[in-house]
Amino acid sequence: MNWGKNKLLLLGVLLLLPALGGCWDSSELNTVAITSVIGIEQIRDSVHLALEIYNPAGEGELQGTQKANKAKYVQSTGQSFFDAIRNVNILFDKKIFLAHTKELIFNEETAKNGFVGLLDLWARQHATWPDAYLLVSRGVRPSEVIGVTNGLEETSANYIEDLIANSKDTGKTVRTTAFDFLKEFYNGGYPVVGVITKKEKAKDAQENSTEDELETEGAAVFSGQNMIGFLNGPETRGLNFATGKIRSAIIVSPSVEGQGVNSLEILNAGRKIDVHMEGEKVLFDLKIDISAMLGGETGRPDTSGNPSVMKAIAEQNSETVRREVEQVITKVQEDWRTDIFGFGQALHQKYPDQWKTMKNQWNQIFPDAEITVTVKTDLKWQGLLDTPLERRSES
Amino acid sequence: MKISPSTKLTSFQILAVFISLRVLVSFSFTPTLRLPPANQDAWMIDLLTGFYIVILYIPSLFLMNRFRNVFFTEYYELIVGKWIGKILSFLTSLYLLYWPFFFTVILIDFIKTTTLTKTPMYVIAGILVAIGVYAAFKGLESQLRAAEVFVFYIIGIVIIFTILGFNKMDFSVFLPVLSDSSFLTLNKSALFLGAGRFSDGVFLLGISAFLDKKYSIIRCLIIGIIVFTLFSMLMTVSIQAVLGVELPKHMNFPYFAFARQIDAFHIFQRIEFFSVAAWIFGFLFKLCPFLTLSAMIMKEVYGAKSEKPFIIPLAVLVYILIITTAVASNPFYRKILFVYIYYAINFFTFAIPLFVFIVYFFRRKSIKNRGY
Repeated sequence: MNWGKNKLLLLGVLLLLPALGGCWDSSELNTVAITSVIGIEQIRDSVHLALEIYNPAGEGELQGTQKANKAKYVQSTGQSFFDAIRNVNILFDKKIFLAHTKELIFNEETAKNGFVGLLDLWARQHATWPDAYLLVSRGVRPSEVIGVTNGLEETSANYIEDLIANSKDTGKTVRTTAFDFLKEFYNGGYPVVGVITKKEKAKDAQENSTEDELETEGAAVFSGQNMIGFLNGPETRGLNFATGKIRSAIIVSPSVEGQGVNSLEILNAGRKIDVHMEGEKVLFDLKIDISAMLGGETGRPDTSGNPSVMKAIAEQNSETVRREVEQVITKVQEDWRTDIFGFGQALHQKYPDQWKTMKNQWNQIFPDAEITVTVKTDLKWQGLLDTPLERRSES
Repeated sequence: MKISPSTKLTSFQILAVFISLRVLVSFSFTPTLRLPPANQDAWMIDLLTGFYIVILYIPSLFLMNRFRNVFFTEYYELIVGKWIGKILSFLTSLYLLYWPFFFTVILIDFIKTTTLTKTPMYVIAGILVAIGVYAAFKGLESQLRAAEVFVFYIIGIVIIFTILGFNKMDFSVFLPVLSDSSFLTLNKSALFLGAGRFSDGVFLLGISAFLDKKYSIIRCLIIGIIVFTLFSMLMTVSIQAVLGVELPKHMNFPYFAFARQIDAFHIFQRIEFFSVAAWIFGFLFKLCPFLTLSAMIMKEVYGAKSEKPFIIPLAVLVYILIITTAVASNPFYRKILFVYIYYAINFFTFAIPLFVFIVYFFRRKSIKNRGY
């Protein structure tokens, strides 16, 4: 390459340099407001939003003598979800940036009327994140929930995110993202969404004043796009056992010997559905296999080297879980007549030809389906003690 | 056309570009998911498609083997006569231009909706076509050498994303197998898809002349079909196992939606741009070699000394088509370019080699006497 060509190349590179500074679509950090949680209410023909926005100035910096809040709160209204988001900028200086939104909270009324239309924006826009958790605020408006923090986290979004993440330890709530909801909705299933409620609690030991805290126990059940009811904590746990989504839980059962209870930690649980058809009748066998550890015993069973006692504790646990699962199945069959457990899917897989005719009437058939729940607990470990302390204290 | 000894391609280069071109389709709009029966058996369409490609490809394959290292425009003229041969070559050249246009429009749709929403469409199209022009001036060999490298990235992304997405996969969605769809429906869709995939067969018909004589064209094609069938299936299965059967049918870019769902160990998440990069690399092989080959055919048709004078006019033609399609608000115009022409040109691309193949059998003795 001669010198003339080199000069031309150099000139070309220099001319291109200004273009490296950005592009038409650049979104600089100082021009955007990163939302962390959005509360959504459809009230008649308008959509009301409550948003929590991360405040970059709150990250460890001091403003005067007081530390800045880590979040700012803003509300807006529009004719649609999108319109309401854009309308935020009538009140708020920075452009709303949705990609880091962790939760979408709908009020009960909106959930009952269906929020799939509102979620359309979330699925359509590239700047949203499909794994944002969906929650229904029970008994309160989303704007009353957003702003409440009572853990160590200083923003509602992070506080709620941790509460939802903790469901893996209790099984008493569900973790449903916007994507999970849409997947279930499109596949003809019945989505179940997390619930959030606000509670009042004493602020200090003297109980002179109160403060708010949030609770994510329970689940909201949907039929199609409309919410049809709530499950409480134990019912939600039963649902999680029935759908094979339980990761850990503490199951408390009456002790097999003496007054007191045993607390088993669920280490692992799986489920299997067997389907049989007897004429027109559909029979399901729901088998749940649990692997557990004895986490606490306030009764007096002799657990030291006594396999029959360990077996009895395991059976007691199985019985408790079985009752919990049966209760939620009965409730759903009787009250809502909706298959939120996926029994229809099992029937489809085993009897595809029959399913073709039953598919459209499944909600009429499901309430009469006979479902047998069998739970087997494998009690593997009992911790660092071989005998309950209660037994030692009385010996 | 005399094939220069310096422009010999290896079977791996052809294989690499063939695989990249096919996997591109799954990266972009994954047609398998929407074709009837559009259910959990979709992966079988991918499996059956290879069989139909081979069947549709028989006339071209025969001609390629019979006239090794002869550019197809030359033997088209030899078999069906100078003028008819030139017309058929001209049509093939235009056909090859259709695909850069088609995939550029899809890519622009994606870029405009996800990344560069405010960047004017004519700028995005201009940059893409300019890349095609630059690569076309560099020649086919350079482009296929690039394919040797990029194919590993493309298939690597498919493998890695499948592994990283495994924790979110639910394979029960594929049950029951073959109960909700008939074998006939699956075969019809496979034939339709095979015809679509045959577009790359026409490209291969062109570049096969440059394949070094020591390599077998048939072997190259069979390995290519096996590999891209495997990867197309892997992508279809990944999408359905994560997104379910119904949801991806309503998504414009299903593999992108799958990639957005990847979250392994809370570390590997929000990595969908890697799949977009693979898509763009695959797209470049749809744009650059197709444009180059189209110019090479024009050179033969018009008896020019070099293909270079044709590159820019053909690129401008593609650019104008892209711009007019994008700005045209009339849905009928889009339907003509994306649906009706699609059927018509598939017919032409199969019909032209078949016609030449049939004529060859009537004139094979005279052709042999002419030293071929």
